Amino acid sequence: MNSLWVDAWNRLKQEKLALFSLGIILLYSLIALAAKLGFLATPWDVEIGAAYSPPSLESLKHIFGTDIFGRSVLYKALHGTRVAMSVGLVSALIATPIGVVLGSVAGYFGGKIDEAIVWFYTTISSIPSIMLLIAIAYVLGKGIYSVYIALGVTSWVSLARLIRGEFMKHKTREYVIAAESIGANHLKRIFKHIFPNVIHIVIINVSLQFQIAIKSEVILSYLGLGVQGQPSWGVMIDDAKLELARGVWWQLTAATIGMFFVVLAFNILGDALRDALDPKLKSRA
Amino acid sequence: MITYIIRRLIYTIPILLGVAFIIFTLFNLVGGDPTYQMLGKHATVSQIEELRHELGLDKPQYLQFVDYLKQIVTFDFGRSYATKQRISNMILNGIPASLSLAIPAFIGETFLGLALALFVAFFRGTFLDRTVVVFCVVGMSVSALAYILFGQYVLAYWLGLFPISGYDPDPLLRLQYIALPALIWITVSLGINVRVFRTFVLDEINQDYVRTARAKGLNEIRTLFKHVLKNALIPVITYVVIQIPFLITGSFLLESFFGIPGLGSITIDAIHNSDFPVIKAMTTIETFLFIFANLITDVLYGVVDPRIKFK
Amino acid sequence: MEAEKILEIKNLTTQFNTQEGTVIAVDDISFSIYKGKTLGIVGESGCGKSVTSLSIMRLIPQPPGEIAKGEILYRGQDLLKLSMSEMRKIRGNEISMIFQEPMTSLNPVFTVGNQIMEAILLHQKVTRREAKNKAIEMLKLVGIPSPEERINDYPHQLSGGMRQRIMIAMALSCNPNVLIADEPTTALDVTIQAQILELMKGLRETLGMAMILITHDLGIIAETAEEVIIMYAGKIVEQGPVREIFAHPKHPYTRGLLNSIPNVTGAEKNRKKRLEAIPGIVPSLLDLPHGCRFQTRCPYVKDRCGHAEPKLRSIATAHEIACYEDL
Repeated sequence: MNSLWVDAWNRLKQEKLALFSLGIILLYSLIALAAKLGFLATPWDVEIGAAYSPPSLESLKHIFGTDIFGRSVLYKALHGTRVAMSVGLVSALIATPIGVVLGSVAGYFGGKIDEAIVWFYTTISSIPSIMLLIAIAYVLGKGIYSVYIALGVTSWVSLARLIRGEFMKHKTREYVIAAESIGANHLKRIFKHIFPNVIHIVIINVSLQFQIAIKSEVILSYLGLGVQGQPSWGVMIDDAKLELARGVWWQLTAATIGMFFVVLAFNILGDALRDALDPKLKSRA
Repeated sequence: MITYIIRRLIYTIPILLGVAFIIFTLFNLVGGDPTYQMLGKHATVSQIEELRHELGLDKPQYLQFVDYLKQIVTFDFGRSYATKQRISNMILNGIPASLSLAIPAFIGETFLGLALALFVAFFRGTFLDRTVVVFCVVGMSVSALAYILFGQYVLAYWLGLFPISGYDPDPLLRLQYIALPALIWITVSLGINVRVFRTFVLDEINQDYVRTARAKGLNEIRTLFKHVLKNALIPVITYVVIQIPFLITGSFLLESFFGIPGLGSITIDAIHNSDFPVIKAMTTIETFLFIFANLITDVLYGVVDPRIKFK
Repeated sequence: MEAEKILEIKNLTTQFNTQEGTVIAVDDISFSIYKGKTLGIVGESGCGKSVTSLSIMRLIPQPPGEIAKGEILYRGQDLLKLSMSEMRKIRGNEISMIFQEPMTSLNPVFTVGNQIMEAILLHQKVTRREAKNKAIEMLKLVGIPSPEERINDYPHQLSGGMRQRIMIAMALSCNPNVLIADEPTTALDVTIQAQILELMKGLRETLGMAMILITHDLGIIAETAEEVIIMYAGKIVEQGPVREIFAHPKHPYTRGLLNSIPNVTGAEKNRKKRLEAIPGIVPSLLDLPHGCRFQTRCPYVKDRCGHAEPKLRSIATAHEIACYEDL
């Protein structure tokens, strides 16, 4: 079992790009943490110049200019990482246990339990996710907690499907029957035997969901359903809508750049993880 | 074949009921009282009660659920709170507008995506292949909003290549207004499409029957277009058809930005206006269309994949 | 009466350039194929027998594969020097190949008739109708009942044995001079195996073609081939007439292989023997021992085996081994 992870890590290490992406993600996490704790880009809501001043090299704060209230766009963008990273993390924390538990129970026990769970997630996934996100966020009201819950509740389905498929495949494999024959009960078979074989799916899925969460938050915030009271890239882009007509492009740029690198990093990392953990799949050339 | 379709139809019924139940629970039970959002903080008690009665919110929940089911079946969702229009009419009027953007854009992104994927699969492993994949990954990492804002600002406002926004009831005159949003739609989707289609095609290229085709003396191009493509079409069709119901909602963002009066734009307006009945109706319609589109996928499968026909 | 030499492989070396290093799957092998005769290539998985056959057809994926050295002379012409379009005229037409897994080797979304006709239409100037008739004829030839109906079937509608017959029909539809069969019966039941082998033997006689039969099963070789090559870790270790080799195996590996076959019908004294397995495992091609590749498992190993690789030498008419011992 250990050698599988060592192998995967070795394969991953060789992909410089993947390591670099991992680095970027860690960097973003650090920035988010530092911003939250007040070590970085604080305070963000004070006026540092005239409203809508363009980017200048006056000081680091001014590098992306100011917004309508004269606040540093750079600082806002940096604080935006808090929202982005927390949204990704929390939605993954909510969705992963749900998806794993429901998927494994459905795949392992089959029969009526499976039918019920499949019916459940088929109905949820029949509602187009954007629509469902908007509906949930609308119904729960504005704010970041609605975003957390909306994302968590909608993103477990794909994971559950994958896990269920894997469990169904593995359930009949000989090593499980062998385990049964030496007296392992259901729980043991699920967690000790089959589960280690599906962890890689969980990991790959998390990296995918993280970036979906970030992109979705941007859209929800843009629609006014998301974050209130703290800077988020989505709100910045929403503001940019009106600003562009006045030739003010810097807020859009800062938010887009902020989002771009972390989403790109997750894309690359996700691909590399897929190649490292499941070499049978060829997702890249 | 017919039995297959009937079986699928029957299987859909519990899903439809389940979905109605979930949507109902979401809007009626989870959400608390919508009237506060709709009327604002300064509403009087009598205003609130009047609205509640109007929306049927003072009835017991199970009756409300029955009402809701009736609405679905009769396609009558009452009136919009903001505009007082009949919601069913709004939907019917919005559909053609959404489709006139969605259909050309969808056809464009699918065919372009597939063509690029085949092209790249032919050159797999080469620098060209890797470059295209990099472009796709980079393209996928930019927010759709950025594309829209950038497109509108640079291509329409600055360079004046397209009108900034607008719509025309006449189908021919409409073309100039949907050109830019369609272009943006295609750009946003192309990255992921090419990557996904490419994977499908490459999965087939590595199959044994491709080796057999080569062993017969078939050249690479014929192998790709005859043998690989038909097999790759199976997952392609699943992937593509799943997106069809989204066409009817239209792209929320594109319609809103470019002033196209489709279903997406209706939904966004409803959100901004806290128009509860409209949001609920849109969610319902969307979902039901989605489910039926899945049914169509399964049937299409039977056409393309002979193994299914005989199940 | 000397049989006509139709295919001559000289010093063929095929390698794969992987991340872990260069793997030489087939290392400097030479052999010949004669018209109307069957050559068997025998060895364990990974010994290079499939790579050899794919090299002849030039179906090795490049990259990472590469035919580094050698000549493949078909009727005097070096196939390795042909352009791809010229090579494609040979494939399926003059030299055909069938593979191990008939289910995955046939395209699931086209009818079997379509797939056979494709081969015909590719190489012969005939109308679709003529091609269809020829396809039906081929189905009859390989013993498929009701060919006019079967021709519209899809591969998944047929049994494993039937599918392999379809593969054979497809391969023989243009009357090739050489048929390469890579483990054609490995994926089939024992009884079907026998049928398919009978079929192939009969066809070889009727059509007068040469056959290369690749397998790990010595029993099949005994039944079907006249000559045999035994491969180990990319090299030929023994070659010669089947009768001779089975009666007097001279290479320790060949002996090991023959000893591991259960003998149920032989003399009493032979039947009582325990099955002997060859100890050890095949060395990784990335980490070959210096000298003879079989030395780590050979019961007769001596010092000189570790110094240099033994070259093939003749020990009887047409019987060669790559070993320093004279067993």
